[in-house]
Amino acid sequence: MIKLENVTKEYPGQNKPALHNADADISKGEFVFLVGPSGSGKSTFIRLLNKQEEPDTGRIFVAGKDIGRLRSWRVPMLRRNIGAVFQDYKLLPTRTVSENVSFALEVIGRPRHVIKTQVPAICDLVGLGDKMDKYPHQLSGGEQQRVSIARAFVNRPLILLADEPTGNLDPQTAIGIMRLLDRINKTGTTVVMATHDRGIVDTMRRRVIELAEGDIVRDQARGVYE
Amino acid sequence: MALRIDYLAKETGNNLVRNPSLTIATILTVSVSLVLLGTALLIRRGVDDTNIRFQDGVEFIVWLAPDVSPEQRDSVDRALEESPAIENHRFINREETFQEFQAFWENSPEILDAVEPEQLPTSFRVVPVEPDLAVVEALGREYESLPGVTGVDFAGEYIRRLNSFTDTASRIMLFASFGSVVASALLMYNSIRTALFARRREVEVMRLVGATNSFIRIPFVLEGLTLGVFGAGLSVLGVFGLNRVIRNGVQNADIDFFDGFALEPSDLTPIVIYLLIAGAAIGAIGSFVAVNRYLDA
Ligand SMILES: Nc1ncnc2c1ncn2[C@@H]1O[C@H](COP(=O)(O)OP(=O)(O)OP(=O)(O)O)[C@@H](O)[C@H]1O
Ligand SMILES: [Mg+2]
Repeated sequence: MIKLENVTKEYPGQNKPALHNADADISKGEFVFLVGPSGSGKSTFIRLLNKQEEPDTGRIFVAGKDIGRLRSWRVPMLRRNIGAVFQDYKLLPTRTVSENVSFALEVIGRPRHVIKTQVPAICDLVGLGDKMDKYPHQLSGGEQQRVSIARAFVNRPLILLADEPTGNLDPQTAIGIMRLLDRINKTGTTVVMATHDRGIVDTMRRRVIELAEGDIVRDQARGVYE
Repeated sequence: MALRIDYLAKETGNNLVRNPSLTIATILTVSVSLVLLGTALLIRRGVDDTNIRFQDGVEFIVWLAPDVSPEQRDSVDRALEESPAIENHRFINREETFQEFQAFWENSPEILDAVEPEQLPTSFRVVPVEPDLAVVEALGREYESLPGVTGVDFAGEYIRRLNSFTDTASRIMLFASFGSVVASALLMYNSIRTALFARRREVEVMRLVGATNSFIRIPFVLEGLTLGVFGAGLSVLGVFGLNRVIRNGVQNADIDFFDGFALEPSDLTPIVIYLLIAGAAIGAIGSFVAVNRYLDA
């Protein structure tokens, strides 16, 4: 589903690459944790996958396609297959829960009747069926993250990228979010998640890719945090 | 892709009221620059109408009486023919005079109706060898007293005065309007950039979930178009007002020569169209560039 071949990414003005000669092969339906200290390149890894960043060298395949050769007008189509979740949720404050979720379908031109059925279904799935008319500021952090997961998943992407989705949440709430991501993964969605949360990684025992200063230093099935 | 009218109307409307002072500034700048452009076009139009009579280097016109005899006409013709100071001359018969007259007054049917071809004077259009104003005038006076001649009009004098004045005026206008059109396009660009910045969260989310650039662009380009066309609409009002002032001025001054500058409101249609197109173009280009640069960054 995702394949990196010798990928190097150096930001302008930095004197060492954020990601260095990275190789990885992630199959459909896998759940992968990216771990490593701050600045080790986890977010860079994730941003390369949906073309928020371009690699300097190397090739990246998503669903069998070399995304480096993708025409720029096809990038939106790639992103429709890749949901993304962030530490800061990126919700639109002037829209309600259901509006935030339907926004993701509206702006890719989904017909109204699809939106009408999909949005409540996904809100139920993330456990917010009774809060669809609330605004983000009326929700707890965990609930806001659920909305953002709902938005990322409402279009049924093949891949879900999550960059420290539990970074702002207390451990109990974080477990709830992990259950949700696990459920989404069980539907066949490939999940790649960057995290600092040792407890989560050690409990879930999924594949772990560890980065250090831009290098992949460990790639372990059913791994632990360190 | 299903484009949703309500979505677009809401987005565009929100953008317009989000920053009222910038919206007003942009509309006003567009309209002022287009008033300048419109004025330049007005002057051009007046000059063109006037120049119809004095084309191809014709420096003076020898008018013959409507009841001139063929002998009188031939003697004037010969006198012009024999003068070494005259490059060439051309007789304008009744039909031609009437056609020009029709072209000149095409928007004033009441005048056209009142005139029969027989009532119009015929004339010689004369191109002297030496276009110098003083020489032309002395030359023209020689024919003023010939039998059958009712008068001599000096194109050169008027035309040159007119052209040098209007040329300068319209050049300044065009220059100023060019400058201010550029300024208004830049302000348009910044206005849309501000709108993009105000909506950067939305735009960021749209890009992440896979909205196409053309979809993201639409409400912003619509906003630019709205601003541009509003500005153009205001400028059209300004140009109509200005034309009224000029018309009244020309009519009160009672100098026939400037009649070409007294444009009927209906004469302004092409100018109105140009201004609306220019306004729409400023809006479309300014916003298009703003969105593209924002999305490429
Ligand atoms: N947009 C950018 N411009 C320049 N340098 C950047 C940019 N983004 C990241 N970097 C640098 O690249 C390196 C890797 O950053 P990255 O964000 O991938 O790390 P990370 O593992 O996600 O860290 P954290 O755990 O703190 O989120 C760091 O040295 C960082 O300073
Ligand atoms: Mg990071």
